[in-house]
Amino acid sequence: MNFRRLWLTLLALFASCLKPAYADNADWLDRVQLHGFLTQGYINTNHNNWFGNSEDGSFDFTELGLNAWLQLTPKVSLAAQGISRRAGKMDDGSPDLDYGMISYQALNSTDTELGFRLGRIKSKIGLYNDTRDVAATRPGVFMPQSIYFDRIRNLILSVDGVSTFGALHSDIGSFYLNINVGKFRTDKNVKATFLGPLPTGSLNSDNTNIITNLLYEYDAGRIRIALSNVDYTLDFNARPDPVFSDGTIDGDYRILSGEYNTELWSFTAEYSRQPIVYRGISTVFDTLDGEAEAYYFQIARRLPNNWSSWLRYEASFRDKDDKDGSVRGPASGLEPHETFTKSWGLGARWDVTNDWMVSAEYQRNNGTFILSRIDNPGQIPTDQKWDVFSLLVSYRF
Amino acid sequence: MLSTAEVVIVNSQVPTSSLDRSELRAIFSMKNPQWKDGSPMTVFVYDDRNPLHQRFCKKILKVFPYQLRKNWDRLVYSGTGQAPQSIKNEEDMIRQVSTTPGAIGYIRQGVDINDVTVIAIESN
Repeated sequence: MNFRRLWLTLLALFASCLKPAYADNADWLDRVQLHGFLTQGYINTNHNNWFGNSEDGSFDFTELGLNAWLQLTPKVSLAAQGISRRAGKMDDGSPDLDYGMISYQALNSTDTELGFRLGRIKSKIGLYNDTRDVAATRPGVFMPQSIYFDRIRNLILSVDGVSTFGALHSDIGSFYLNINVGKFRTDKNVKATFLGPLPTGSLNSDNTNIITNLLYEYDAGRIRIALSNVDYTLDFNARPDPVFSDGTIDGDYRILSGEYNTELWSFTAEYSRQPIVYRGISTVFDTLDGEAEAYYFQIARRLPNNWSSWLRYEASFRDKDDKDGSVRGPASGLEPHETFTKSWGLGARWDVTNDWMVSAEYQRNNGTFILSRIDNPGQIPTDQKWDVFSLLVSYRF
Repeated sequence: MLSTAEVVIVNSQVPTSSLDRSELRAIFSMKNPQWKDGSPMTVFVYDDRNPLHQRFCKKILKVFPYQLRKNWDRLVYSGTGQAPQSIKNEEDMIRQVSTTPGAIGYIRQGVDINDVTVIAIESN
């Protein structure tokens, strides 16, 4: 779907909804609700680059967002968020539309809800993806990379298309279903992750990718269990390249997520499998099919005076049948350790006020599968063992 | 004599006299902020760290305050909903609830009230 056309359609819808509903009421601007966030990070690694030139200490991580929300009628709402994100060489801070959509609540009773959305819609994947750029909502300093790879952030960030959402509330808990269909967004990071640095052609998502998310909540979120599926196809157009030809990449990203919350403790685990199939791009890529596997588990503890702390283990493997990368590494021109990452992380957070927070984490990594090729161009092969210290200061309203 | 128990209050025009716990949870989680007749609802709460808010969450709603905050953040920053309006003290709470159509909030039992309706909480 052409996004400019979509946006104009949204504006037209906005205008048409607005007029009959509030024609005799000029104060609708007063009813717009505004929220936002600003986060600055400091990152220091002993080897490799994590969001910028972090071996020397990097401040190249900034997140800035501002959103507006308007309830047009009891059934119709409009929402949009602009974002600027600096993340080393992966993201340069150019302003971007994070989401912009019109929502229609068709059915709304005590037990059931059903609605539809149109526009740029955040992708509900796992437990945390739809607010992944808001530091206060993340389970650590950064998203757990095993499940929420920043290397392919744009691909799993949002959908330009349509969505349907439903809820069923019962005595045994609430069930939420969310299905998004549309075009995913690709960028240089997605291309570098799937195709490496060589191909000069373009990689774009087709228009019928589907994200399905089924969430079960018990006791207002004491227990949360989610099943997510991301079914995507990327089209590669090789045009000027003599070595590569047109082809496709098909992926199917499946995640099982669980969270258990008590007053003082939170236990979280997410597990994923992702078969990836290359077709026609080159004979080398055609041999690179395989199923990726990743997971993490985390224990978090709320402490007195608005402190909290967490311990996390995570692992990700490009090929679940070749976890040490001894086959896939050489076959794809990489070191074996560039096909997996295993990490321990220990972190703490202090919510200074309701609006301000500071968080810090120390992480020991074995393997560099999660590292960006764009942030580490001169460092291939990357160093297998690397540690990260990260610190964030964040404000939200 | 002020009690440490909390009561739910609504604007006097609201055509509801009782709510059960799961309905209150849904309301204060901002999952479905409208009344049964479809009219818009405005939800007022105190600051997350206000002891009155913390007692209300734990004793009446039986959720932890951080669970509500997580829900609101998810709604606000994904464009799928809104957070409640934050109020400084009970005096402001009563004033806002009495003057805002469709408003709901909570105060300590025994606080003087005019122009707002106390809602019965059904056990379920």
